Amino acid sequence: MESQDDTATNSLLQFDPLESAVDPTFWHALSKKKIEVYRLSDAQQDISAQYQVPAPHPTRNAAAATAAAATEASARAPKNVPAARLSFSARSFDDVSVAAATASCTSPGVLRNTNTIEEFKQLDKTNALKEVAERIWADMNSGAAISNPSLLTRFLLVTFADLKKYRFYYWFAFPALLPEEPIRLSRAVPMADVYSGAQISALRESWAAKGGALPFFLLSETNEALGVHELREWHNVMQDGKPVTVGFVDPSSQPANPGWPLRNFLILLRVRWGVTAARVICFRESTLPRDPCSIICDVVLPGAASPRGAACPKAVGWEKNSSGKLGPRMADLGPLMDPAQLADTAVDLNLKLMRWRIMPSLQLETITATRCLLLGSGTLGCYVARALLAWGVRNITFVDNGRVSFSNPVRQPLFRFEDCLDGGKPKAAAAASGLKGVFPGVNAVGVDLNIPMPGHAAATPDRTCADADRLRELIEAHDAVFLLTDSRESRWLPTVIAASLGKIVINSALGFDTFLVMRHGIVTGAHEPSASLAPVTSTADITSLGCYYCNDVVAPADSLSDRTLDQQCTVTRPGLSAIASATAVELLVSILNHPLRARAPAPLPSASNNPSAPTPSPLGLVPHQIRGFLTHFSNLLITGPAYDRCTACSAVVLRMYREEGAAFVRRVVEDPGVLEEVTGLRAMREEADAQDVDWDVEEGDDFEI
Amino acid sequence: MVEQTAAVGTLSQQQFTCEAASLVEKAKALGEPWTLVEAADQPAYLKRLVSVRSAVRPATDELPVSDGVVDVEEEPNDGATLHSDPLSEITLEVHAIYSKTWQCPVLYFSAWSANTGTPVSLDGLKNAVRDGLPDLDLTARTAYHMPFIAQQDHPVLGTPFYSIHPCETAMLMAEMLSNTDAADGRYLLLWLSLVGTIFHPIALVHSSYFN
Repeated sequence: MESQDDTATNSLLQFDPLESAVDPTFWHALSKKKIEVYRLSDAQQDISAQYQVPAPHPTRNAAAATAAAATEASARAPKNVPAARLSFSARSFDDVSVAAATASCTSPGVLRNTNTIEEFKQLDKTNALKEVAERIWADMNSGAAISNPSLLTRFLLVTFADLKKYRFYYWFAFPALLPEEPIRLSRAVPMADVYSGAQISALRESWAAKGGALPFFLLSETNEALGVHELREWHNVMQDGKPVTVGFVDPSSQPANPGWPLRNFLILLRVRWGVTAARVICFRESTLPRDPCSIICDVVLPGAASPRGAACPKAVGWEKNSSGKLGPRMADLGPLMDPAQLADTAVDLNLKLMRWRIMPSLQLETITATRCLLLGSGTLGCYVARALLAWGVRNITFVDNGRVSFSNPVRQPLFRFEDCLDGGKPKAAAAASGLKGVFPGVNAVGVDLNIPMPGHAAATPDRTCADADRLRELIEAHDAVFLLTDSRESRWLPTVIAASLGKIVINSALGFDTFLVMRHGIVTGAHEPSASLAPVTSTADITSLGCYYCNDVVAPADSLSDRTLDQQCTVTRPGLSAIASATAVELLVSILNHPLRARAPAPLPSASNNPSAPTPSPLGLVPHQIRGFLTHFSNLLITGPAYDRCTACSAVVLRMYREEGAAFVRRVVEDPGVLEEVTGLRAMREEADAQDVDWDVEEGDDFEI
Repeated sequence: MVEQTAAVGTLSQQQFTCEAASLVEKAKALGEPWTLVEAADQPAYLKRLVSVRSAVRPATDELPVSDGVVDVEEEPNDGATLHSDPLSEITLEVHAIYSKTWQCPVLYFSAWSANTGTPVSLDGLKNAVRDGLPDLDLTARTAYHMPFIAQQDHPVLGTPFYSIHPCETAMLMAEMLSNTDAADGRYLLLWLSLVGTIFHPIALVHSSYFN
């Protein structure tokens, strides 16, 4: 049974090092102390930590494991053994005298919190450890460590709390004084191999009777019992000539090695009482009646003892980090303490709720990844951005050329009164900043830009070209474009660019009590000439859905100059914009969740009649146009095909834009008639005029903003 | 007078306190670390810490600094330090807190790297729990009204915790209680074994608690 004696005789005694285990409450408490108490002080602070016997470990069977480890005769510890832990929590900052209500041992320690990362790096670690070691040495020599043996486990903690990033840099040291000569181990065996069941029971009871937290103790032995005694009883307990038997609460689970706290205890034994050999009970018993887990180490302490009062021996004890190197660690409490990260997680979980509870197939990741460009940062732009944010969209760019005016904030929810002062902030930037104020995790950008418009000559032709190129860059860099500007003609160029790039376009416009929300079709190639103006009865006939301009027989032109003030300004029922914007965003989400995305077929006109009819995709229909009528509180779904003479998405216009680029834009801006010319609209109209057809050409728009 | 009757599947505060105390007693006898946390003016709650072995080493626990800056002078190598290869562990902290609003217990939990205290995300926890959290396909999850997880401030501690929303608890418990023999006084145990399934194969309570 004890054949391991030979193989392990007088090997070097190796101690299982302590591992620091810091729970998040420690960092919360340190932050609070730093802000409210320490402030800029880097003075040494008293803190404490706890350790206890190891928790039961399912695979642990002390007898078998010890035998196995001893025969391995390897310098390395067996794998999969839990670490011996020294635990830190908010209680570490409590007064030591009131702590420790539980059956655990308390270690006193020194906290040195530095004010900057540089101070943390440059702190003289060797000297800091030496200072703590000297205090331990002094406590041994003065006898303080005999009346209060927890002083043998004094530790050091160096920290830097980065309270902007909620990161904590730290390094623990558990100083162990070195003996003159290495301590030898003559044998390590399970306690049950040495003591009887009755003796072990007596030991447990005796230890519990001493309060269950005595970290180091002496043992008296009879045939029936083992008794626990405090260190100060040395002369009553120890008898000359009898072997010295001591014990300590051992946080280690190693089958053949004692834990770190024994190191300084052995030095104390050598220095105070000249002990040269001892039997050590590495006490690992819990209060529960289960098989004994403790081990016995018979140790030899060779060499001359440092005389009392001599200089402090050298010490070791800096903790290694997780990669096994001597170096500090870092705790990142951002996910618990950074409000921005907390908001991020909360928003994410909230959206997932929809998927968990209602719609497992919901493409949340697709929605989140969709980069949205909002052309116009007024009432529509603000509401659209809010609704996108609610869906988890994280990249939103606002474009506008105006400034926030005093009438804006009440209708445009991203602006505040302060934004209107001193001439008003640029609208796009103010909207982006307002959106970040709602949710800092959003990547919101504002771009101040004039969108070139047919019939509105810019200051210089170069300006027009530069603006057109900038708009193209923006559209290229996004996945979906929202047309939310306040005029019909400002939507023309983005329609052309987005059509040529195949981007998703959602277009919304407001009347006084009516609105339009539509998606533009994806251009699949040259439109087949067709009798497009005939009413559509079957969507199967439609190869391509139309754009905003497909129903027009005139080119967009300056619609603003001749208007009265009430026509130029937003004259709509105030609730209308929120309704239209929400509808626009939901249309985008329906597109993104359809397998064919922007090519999803539009529903037949009849499909809208019955809201309880089943729909082909989980989120329902993906209509082409929604016309809302607040007068009747109802919506109408309309499907319209692309028109081969469209001034914005017809093959000829897209070809000319592709070939001429900004130069083509410049020509159109200067003379919108170019569009009617190239698409053949003018020829058609002249032909019709000749035949005296009564065209119903509207004065202006149904819809404006 | 209208007699107030408890809705099916709910639990009164008094029953919660009573069953929690007997659960702690039982846990003590079994050597399991359930404790009752009581503080002045605060409702008591059940608490348990679970160590979870992590296959993944936490990425953030080293200080990213250039070499040489944080060197200590090489420690004297006395050969007396055991070179162990400690496991990377995650601490999972589970609380059962009574909700007056929902008339039932609510599960709160949080997880962090056992060394540094760096919190572990839901996905991180899922990866660490051996076998993973049950990866029911989402359709089944929706159909069976699986509990969902939100992030909330702990009602007593005030720090962020994950919690399982209690809106389905009474409904599920009513079904569970009606299908269980001798369910009297075992609401809390049955509930813990139910919500605890999200940590499978870790068991918050096991069959011995029912003996």
